[in-house]
Amino acid sequence: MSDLKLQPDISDEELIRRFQEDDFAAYNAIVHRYKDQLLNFAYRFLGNVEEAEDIVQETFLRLYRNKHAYRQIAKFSTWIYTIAGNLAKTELRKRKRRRVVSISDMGFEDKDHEIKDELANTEQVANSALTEKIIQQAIDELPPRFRQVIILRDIQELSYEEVGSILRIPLGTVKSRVNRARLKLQAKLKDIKMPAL
Amino acid sequence: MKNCDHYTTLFSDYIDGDLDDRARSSLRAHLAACPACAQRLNAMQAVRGSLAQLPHIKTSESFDLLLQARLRREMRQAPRRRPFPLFELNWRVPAYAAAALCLVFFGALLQRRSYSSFIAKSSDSVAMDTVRRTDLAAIEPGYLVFVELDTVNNLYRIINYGGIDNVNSLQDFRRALAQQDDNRTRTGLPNLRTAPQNRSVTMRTRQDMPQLRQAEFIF
Ligand SMILES: [Zn+2]
Repeated sequence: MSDLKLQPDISDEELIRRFQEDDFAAYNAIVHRYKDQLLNFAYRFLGNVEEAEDIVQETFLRLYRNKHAYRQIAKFSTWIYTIAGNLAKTELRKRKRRRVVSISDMGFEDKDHEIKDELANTEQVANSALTEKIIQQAIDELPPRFRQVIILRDIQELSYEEVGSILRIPLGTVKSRVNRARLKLQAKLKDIKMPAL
Repeated sequence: MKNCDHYTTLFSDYIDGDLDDRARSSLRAHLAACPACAQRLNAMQAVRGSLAQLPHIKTSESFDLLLQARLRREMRQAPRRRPFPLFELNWRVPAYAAAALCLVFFGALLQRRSYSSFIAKSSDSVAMDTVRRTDLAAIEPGYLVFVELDTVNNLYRIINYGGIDNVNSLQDFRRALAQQDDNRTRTGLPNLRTAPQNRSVTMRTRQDMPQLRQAEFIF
């Protein structure tokens, strides 16, 4: 299996084709290729590493079970991202349901306010871990549809076309949504002098 | 003359270099005359730069192991429903001397089909050096074994174990252990969750026990 992992010139589509013919080494190579990428996607979307890891596990299990659902007409990467993205959205909904109780227990939480407090000492925002935390918090506050596009486009640096096929929305919509997401993030983060990460 | 709202819709395309000449010069003219938009565009560019530089995380040590275990189960097609084996915690540990360790055991030496005869008992108090090979041999590859480090007596105790074959997620597993932890609190035993979090500890690998590779704080 390590042979396959070490051959970056084999395309994803070729790997999945081999896996569809029951080549398990090809499956392992796909996992090796995508696990960290998908983890970062899920992690930025959910803001929680453990949940993100479970999402990625589930994604690969679905790949295993449903390998024949993949058709060569689509890029493999967008197909697997779609699976991971749907699972992450489901997780988010579950989490919302779980939270109903705790929020009413704890009283109203003003998230925006929390951020501002944290930014009160702007000068002290000097270490990258804190910067990352603040950015992540701002991402967490975006509505999911904006969060998805910004993660795929600006963190994972996929093309607009790829983002469009993952989310199954037209190119024009992707572009305007990315623009709005960037504006929203900019508005949340405008008062911070961003130190280098 | 178009307004700011119109021009902000062009920001992304401008940053990405996707504007045609006319739109671009029209936006530039507006930016020169409108400090608010110019400032916003600048900030947007800065944010975008920071996003691209966010650190990348990697999957944990247990990730591949758990996935392989779940696939094995998947391949067996009809999964036998095994009870999730958890020890009863019925012994005492020196307070605050205990830290929970999660050991992932694997390797060829641990190949064995049946684990129903698992020998390690919750009351076992074994120095790592004296863990009997037979105890470990009863653990299938892919088992998570939770061990407490007793820093006073300088030994490890097996407190809990579970086959990741039977777990659907790392979270499930941790949740099950958290429950055990609550029981501990109720019975006056030290709460393991106060132990250091997620710190990776590299353990000695003994020549005769190469399968014991890594230990990781889980609480
Ligand atoms: Zn303007």
